[in-house]
Amino acid sequence: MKKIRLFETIKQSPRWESFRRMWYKFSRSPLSIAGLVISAACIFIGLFAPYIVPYPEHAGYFHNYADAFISPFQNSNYIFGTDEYGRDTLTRTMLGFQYSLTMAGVVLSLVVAPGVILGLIAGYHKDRWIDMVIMRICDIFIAVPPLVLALAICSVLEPNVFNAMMAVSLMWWPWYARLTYNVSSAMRNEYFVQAAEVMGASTFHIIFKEILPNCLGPILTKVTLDVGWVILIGSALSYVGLGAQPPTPDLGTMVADGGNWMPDFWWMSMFPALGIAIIILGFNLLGDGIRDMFTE
Amino acid sequence: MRTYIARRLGFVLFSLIGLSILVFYLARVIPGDPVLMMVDPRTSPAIIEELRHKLGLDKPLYMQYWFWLQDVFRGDLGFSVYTKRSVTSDVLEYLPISLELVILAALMEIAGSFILGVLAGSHAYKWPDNLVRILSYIGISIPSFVWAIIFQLIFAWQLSLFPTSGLLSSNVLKPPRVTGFTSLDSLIAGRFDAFADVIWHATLPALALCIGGMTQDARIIRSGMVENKDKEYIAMATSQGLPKRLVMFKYLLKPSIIPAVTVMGMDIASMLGNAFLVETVFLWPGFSRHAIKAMYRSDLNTIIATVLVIGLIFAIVNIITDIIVAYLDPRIRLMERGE
Repeated sequence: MKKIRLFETIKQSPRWESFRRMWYKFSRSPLSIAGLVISAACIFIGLFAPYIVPYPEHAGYFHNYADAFISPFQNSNYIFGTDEYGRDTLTRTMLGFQYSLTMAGVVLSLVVAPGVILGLIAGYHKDRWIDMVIMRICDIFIAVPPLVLALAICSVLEPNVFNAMMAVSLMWWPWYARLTYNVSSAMRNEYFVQAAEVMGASTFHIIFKEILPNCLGPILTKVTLDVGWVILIGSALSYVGLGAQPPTPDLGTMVADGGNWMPDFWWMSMFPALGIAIIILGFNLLGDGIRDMFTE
Repeated sequence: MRTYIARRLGFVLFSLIGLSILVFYLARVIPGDPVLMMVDPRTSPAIIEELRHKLGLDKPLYMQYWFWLQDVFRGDLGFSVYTKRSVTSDVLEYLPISLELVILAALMEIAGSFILGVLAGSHAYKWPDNLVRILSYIGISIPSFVWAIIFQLIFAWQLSLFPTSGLLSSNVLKPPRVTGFTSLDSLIAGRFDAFADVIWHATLPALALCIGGMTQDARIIRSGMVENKDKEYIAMATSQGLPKRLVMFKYLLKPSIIPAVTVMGMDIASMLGNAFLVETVFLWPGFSRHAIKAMYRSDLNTIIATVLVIGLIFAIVNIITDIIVAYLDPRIRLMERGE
């Protein structure tokens, strides 16, 4: 009984009402729904790849030369064909989703919180020394394309998946700081912030209870879009051999390995490449949908 | 305008110095003792100490940074373990070849996004608009190195319309080096065959570099045009009987491209990063590919130089973008004057 009453209360709250309106707006756009479906499917594959792929043993050092170089759509056992060791391309591509999404998950969970907090602090203290310090440090990291510095870091350290994640994380937080800074510094002189100041609210309260909730829209949009971009950078790092190392079934590594067998055995790199494209497309459509949802 | 640019320059200079500290720390401190990396492990401690003193590595870190920075400003980026030459001469040799590609890609991006954007904006909600919308989703979701592989597969391997890789065909002689830009050198030498050959080789990689940004910018130009179309000043210009084309290009397009120019600048600057991958696919003998090779061999001086040089070019492109935006947008110019 109690649970039902709680649900009734939630349903009457204004927050639920605004959520329902946003969902209505989101669901009106077929592209946003497509984005939601594609990203959900990608996450599902990423989470359960080892259990649903046809040949889980094809992930690492495995060879079955009898089945090597099978073209796609020829053999019903290997719909997407096999590589030079006879490993199933479909299996490895699906396992690649796991690596890519893990990378995106780790990087984003590392960078979003510090980036947003620094951005909020700098935005609230706009034009004071703390703003200058934080934002100029951000400028340093933004002074080169993220890929270049990530490549440099990975090459100085040992190239592997862990270091690739650390390098990308190090490059990524300033973008959150800058985004949050832009949104929160514009909000600095709004009446609700001034009201809270007049009432003697603490800086902590103003930053996290007054300003942060109003920044959530752009931050959530960026997080969604960034899933695609982090995966892109990660696969780029492994493509040039400075990220995940073979035989890891990483999408970028697979595209690179398949590149050695171009053009005759094109499927070895084209299907993993298609996998990257589908993830980026899905999260981009979803991100666009979320952005539209938050804009009035 | 002048204060605006001066302030931008100051910020850029500051972030470049910060970048140099970052990269110095990255390449000189994190990997371990540079002297031990240099010498044979059996060298006696006395010789190691002597070498350390000779190279100035026994001094505190900030002194080492200061000496290193002085060297950088003198144009001495150190010695490359990989090519066994000075890094500066490597940079001078390879950088123009990369810039050639990036500049061609930038020109293609600007031209393409204008054509597509104006087409979509002037036919909003009709089929050209939808086509550009679909193209933009395809363009954004396929990374540049995958475009490179797709183009190579289709246009080079299957259709043989373009060469698969390299800078020049094997039967075309390289023009004598004057500027380092192969295309420019061919024109200086009057070798139009070589010029055409370079452009022919650069087309696919440049297209792969610019296609993502191009479709995005087209969308931005399009939405700017659609947004501004309903403004009153356009209605006034039209009702005064100004020719449609004049209204379109002078009054509608100019404010609509301002947001696109900013994004375009960022795209062109980030091409320097993507060039690392595209050059690898097309075996383009440029700076990025050289840097990747140096990275495999942990050639620290080249890695430092790569980050610094790309940071410098990135900064130049950003300043140029700011100047263009300030020129296009009178609000920025006048705001600075009013202050």
